[in-house]
Amino acid sequence: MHGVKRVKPSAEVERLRKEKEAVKIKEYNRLIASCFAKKTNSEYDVEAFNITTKILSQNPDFYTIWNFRRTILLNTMLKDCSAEEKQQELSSELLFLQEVFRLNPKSYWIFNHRRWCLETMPTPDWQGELTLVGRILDMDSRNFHAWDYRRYVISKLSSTEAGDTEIRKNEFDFTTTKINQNFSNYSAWHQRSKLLPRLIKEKHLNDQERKKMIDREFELVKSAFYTDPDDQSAWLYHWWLIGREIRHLSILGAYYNPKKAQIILSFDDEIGMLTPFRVLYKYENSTNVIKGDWRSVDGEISNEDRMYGFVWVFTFSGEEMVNFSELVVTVKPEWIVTSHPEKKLARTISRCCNNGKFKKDKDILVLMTPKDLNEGVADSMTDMLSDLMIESPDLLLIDTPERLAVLRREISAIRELLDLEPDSKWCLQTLVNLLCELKHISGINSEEIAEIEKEVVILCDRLIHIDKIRTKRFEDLRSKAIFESSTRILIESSNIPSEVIYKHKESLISESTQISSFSLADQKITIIPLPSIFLHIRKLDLSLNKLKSIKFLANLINLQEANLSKNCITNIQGVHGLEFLRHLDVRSNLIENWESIKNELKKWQGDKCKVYLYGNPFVEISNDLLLEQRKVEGRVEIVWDDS
Amino acid sequence: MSQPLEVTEYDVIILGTGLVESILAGALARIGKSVLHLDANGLYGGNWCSLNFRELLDWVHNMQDPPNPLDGDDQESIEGMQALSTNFPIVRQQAYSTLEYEIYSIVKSDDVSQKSDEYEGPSNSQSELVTDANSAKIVPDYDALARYLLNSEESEQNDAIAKVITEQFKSKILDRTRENEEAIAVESSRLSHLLQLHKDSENISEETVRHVSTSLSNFERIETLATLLNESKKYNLDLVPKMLPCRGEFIDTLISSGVSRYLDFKAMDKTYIYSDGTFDKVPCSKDDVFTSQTISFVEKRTLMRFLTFALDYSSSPEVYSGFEEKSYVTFLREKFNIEGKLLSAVLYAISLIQTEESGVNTMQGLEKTQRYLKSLGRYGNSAFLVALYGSVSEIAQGFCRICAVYGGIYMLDHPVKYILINENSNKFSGLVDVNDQQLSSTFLVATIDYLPTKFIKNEKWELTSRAIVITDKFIHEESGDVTMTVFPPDKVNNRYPINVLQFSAGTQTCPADKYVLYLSTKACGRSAKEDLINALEKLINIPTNDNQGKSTNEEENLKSNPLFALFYRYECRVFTPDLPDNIIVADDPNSSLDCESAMILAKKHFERMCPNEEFFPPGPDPDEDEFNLD
Repeated sequence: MHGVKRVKPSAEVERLRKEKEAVKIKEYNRLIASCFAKKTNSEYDVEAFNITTKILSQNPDFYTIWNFRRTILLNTMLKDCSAEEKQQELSSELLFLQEVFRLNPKSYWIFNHRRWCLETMPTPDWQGELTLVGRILDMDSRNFHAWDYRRYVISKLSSTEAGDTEIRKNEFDFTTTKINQNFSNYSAWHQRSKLLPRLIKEKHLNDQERKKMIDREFELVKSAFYTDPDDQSAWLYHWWLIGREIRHLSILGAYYNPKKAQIILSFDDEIGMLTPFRVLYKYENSTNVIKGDWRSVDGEISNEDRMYGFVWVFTFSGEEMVNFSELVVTVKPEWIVTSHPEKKLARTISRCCNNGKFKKDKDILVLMTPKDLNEGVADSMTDMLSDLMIESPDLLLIDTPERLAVLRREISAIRELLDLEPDSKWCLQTLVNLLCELKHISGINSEEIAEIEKEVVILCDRLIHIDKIRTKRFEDLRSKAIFESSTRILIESSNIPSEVIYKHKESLISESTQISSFSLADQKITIIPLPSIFLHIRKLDLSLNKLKSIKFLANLINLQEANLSKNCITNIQGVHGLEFLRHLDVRSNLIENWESIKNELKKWQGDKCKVYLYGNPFVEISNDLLLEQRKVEGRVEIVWDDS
Repeated sequence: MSQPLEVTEYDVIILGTGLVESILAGALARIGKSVLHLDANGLYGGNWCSLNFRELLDWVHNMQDPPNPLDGDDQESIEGMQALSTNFPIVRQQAYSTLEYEIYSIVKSDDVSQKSDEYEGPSNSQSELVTDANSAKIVPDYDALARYLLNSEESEQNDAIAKVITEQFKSKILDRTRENEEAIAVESSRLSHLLQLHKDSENISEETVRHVSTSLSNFERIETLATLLNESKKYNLDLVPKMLPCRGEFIDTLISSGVSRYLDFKAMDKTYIYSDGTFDKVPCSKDDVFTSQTISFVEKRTLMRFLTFALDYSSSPEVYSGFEEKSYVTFLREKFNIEGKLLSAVLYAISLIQTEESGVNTMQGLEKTQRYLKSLGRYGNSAFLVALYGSVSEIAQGFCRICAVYGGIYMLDHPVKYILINENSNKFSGLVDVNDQQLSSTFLVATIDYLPTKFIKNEKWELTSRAIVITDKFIHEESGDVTMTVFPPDKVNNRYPINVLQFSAGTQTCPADKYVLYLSTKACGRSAKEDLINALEKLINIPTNDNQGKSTNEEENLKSNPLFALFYRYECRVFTPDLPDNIIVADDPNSSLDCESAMILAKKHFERMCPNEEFFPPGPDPDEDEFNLD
């Protein structure tokens, strides 16, 4: 009974209880022993069955016993019997399940056995199951086992009955009822997100009706987070409604290095290569495949034995490539994976360059220009995108102008809530998300993008302060915003060619046409999200930040001078392949281990390079003598003092 | 006359079976005190009683009648003790004022689909008593009417008269014509005369005669009266309807005492608040706020912020510091930006403030809001429960039952003649009952009705205007067992908030096709009717003389119509300081909507009488039976 203070039972009562319990434990253990004996001897008789009944009535989570029980059923009760008898037997099994369900309403094995029974039955009553699971959810509307089972029952119902849409409509209404009873219910919102896109599709709604239906969802979820901004189930549904824009993966640059016989591809995301990109050359009307190896510059091997990276280098194997009229590299969308599922290469890309027009001078990269680029690009791109969207049934179809309107509306709604709840972390995070989505939508001018970036940084600063558990996440997000805003200027001012722009541009890239230095000091940056953008940078200043790693430097293949002092770097992994590097300043960082530095520098292949290590923990605890002994063979010079 | 009691000495004698007295009776018997529990009335509940329709009319007439002059001397001496006579009927009657009731003609529904078999007609062959071919809804039982008019169900002579009346009215009403209408009028006056003649022998009061005469002046009203009387026993009308907060002393004691086992409850469904012609559903809980269509998103947030704070306000004193003594309204406005309709909702529908805006300071207000919020979520999405079969008297009877289980003796219909006071010590020492038997006890617990007049202060304490209205439709769109409707101050020209509880048949207080409205407010005008009629008019169609029984427009067709309305005022009274200290006065029902204070007061009295005893110590735990069996 509610509200009744429980009186502690007397010692006598307690002793009696313990005695009774001991008897029960003994009996239980005896049952288990005899059950396993039966199992070992493959005795699938009624006695064994009854033992499983007894055990499972006490402990329905003992899945071995459930398995044994099924074996008995199949070998004994259900063997050579009529459909009617089978139905009968399994019906009583279902009743038994209902009994043990009371012991544990959240047992995987009970639901599992139930599925088995129904699927083994000649005529399962799925409608009855739906009623049953409805009752279970009345008892506890957040029992995710029951929600999962409900989806299963629905899938069975919709495969056997006409009027699937009707079933889904009822399901949708069911989630509404449950959400109205208590909206802090991940399962119900999730169910809704599964049903909504299908309903919209199946009901053949016109634009207006579809929009209305989606807007109603926004209203519902808005009502939830206005009621309780701390409840994340509603926010997550809101995030799902907003969705994520399909982003285009693009090639920031494609170059041929005649001196080294290499092709360099720089992407604007970290990609993995599923199939090697195709490299062809044309010579005197014949086209041939060039053999060689693709490798990403940071060259890490992932678990699947596949490399990931921003910048990819193709090195010709063997053949001397002097004579060709045209060199073509081709990348197909299906050959790559990206780090974000919504980021896609929109179409097949080919880049080419011609031989002979350039002198084989030092340091000169030949720009590979887009091949067969016609005016119809925009169209083919849209086709591709809509294909992608239709493929995924869990997304809401919202076109760009509508999405832009939705984003703007939601942003202003969240701002309004933020006025009331300035410290709501979910609210702040959602605003950040929305702004980032808005930024990526086409049709936003650069002035607005700059505004968005500025605001995102401010919001992240607040989140870092408010949500201590996720500080790192928001520091990264903030870094991304700062990075994007400062590199955007870099792109705009430097003509780093983006695909379409360099159709008519100079096809030779030399030092003079590129911005060669970049500085982003003292910004509390923790990560460099897109290092491939620095492909041509020679001088980099990222001092006074909060970088932990400099692995990204591997992508800066033209880097000569790097100031990374006063960060939080713990090792210098990532620099050994930078052949032009002459000056690496990692003073006042958090490097604690000389060995790791030594190992990285051992691999050094380049020219003479100075490495500044003053002010790192391992230096500070070492005496001069010790430092004297620490040397690297080759052309690396370590500078220990603060000069 | 009952047999004299064998035992004449008790630990406690209790007079009256109202809620506070009954709780005390149960609590005292539970710890082993010998209890004699008497009530001058024939039914349980005292001023907290529930009555069927016929009993209610009788009660009204009793309250309106000038009581008989006192027999016996006021002060007499018995065995050296001062014998003070009690004046139960008079004292009780003084608590009720401005009583007036109205029986309305039944508005005929044009809806042909109404089926007659939904309603229980009289069991005899007169079931063809259908007043209108198109409206089989009303099946009045003129036998019941006749019996009622004669105030007797037994006397053979009256049966004969009843038959005459039945025939007279039935035939004429069934065939409505102008001539019959006139005939009815003649019949009524003849009947009044008849009643006058029988007045003395049948103990019929002047008031009854007068009321019957007026009720019978219009034959449509006769139908209504006959209908109500026919279903009389299906009504359990509360003089003071009360709800039970889902968390608090009261419910805890109901559980610990075991009384809850005797009771069934319904949860209150929805609260509505009136504003400028419309009734809005009040979002009280988190789920209500979420689903509410009547408040904006910003208001949702504003309200939730406040509710979250109020639920645990004492842990953030910085929020209300500086506002403690300021009015609650100021606090809500300045600290939480709560304005307009939302402000009214918080004050009158959630905090259930019974006074004008400025009457409650921040600390009092927060306490009230918190009490409401704490009650939510225990028994579903509702803060209150309502006991079935009459919201209070069933609970009171439950406590009496506990008292009887533990040896308490019960006698209803058992008035007390004298209260005996030891003049030297000014202590209560015993009483003389209706059988002239002298009974004594250490303590006397009594409602003020039983006290000799010298102990009653002539002072207005708390005056509440109330109304009981029987209607034919649910007043809001969404029906439910119990709903509350609040009229904030000044909305219907009212100084204080008016609360309206609507009970449906699910509460077992009225027949299936009827609804009961209970209105209450602090008294401020000249009469209960004056205080409440404006609010009532917003809820239902009150016929005026011009549109008697006929709906004038669509909107009014949808509104519910009254069958009966009773207005009255009830005054909580105070006793004088020279009351002997072993007389415990059981408190009158106050104006609050819930009965929490009754329990708190009963507990306080109990602790005064038995300072070292536990108030309803928990009984044996039923869960432990398992171990005690072997």
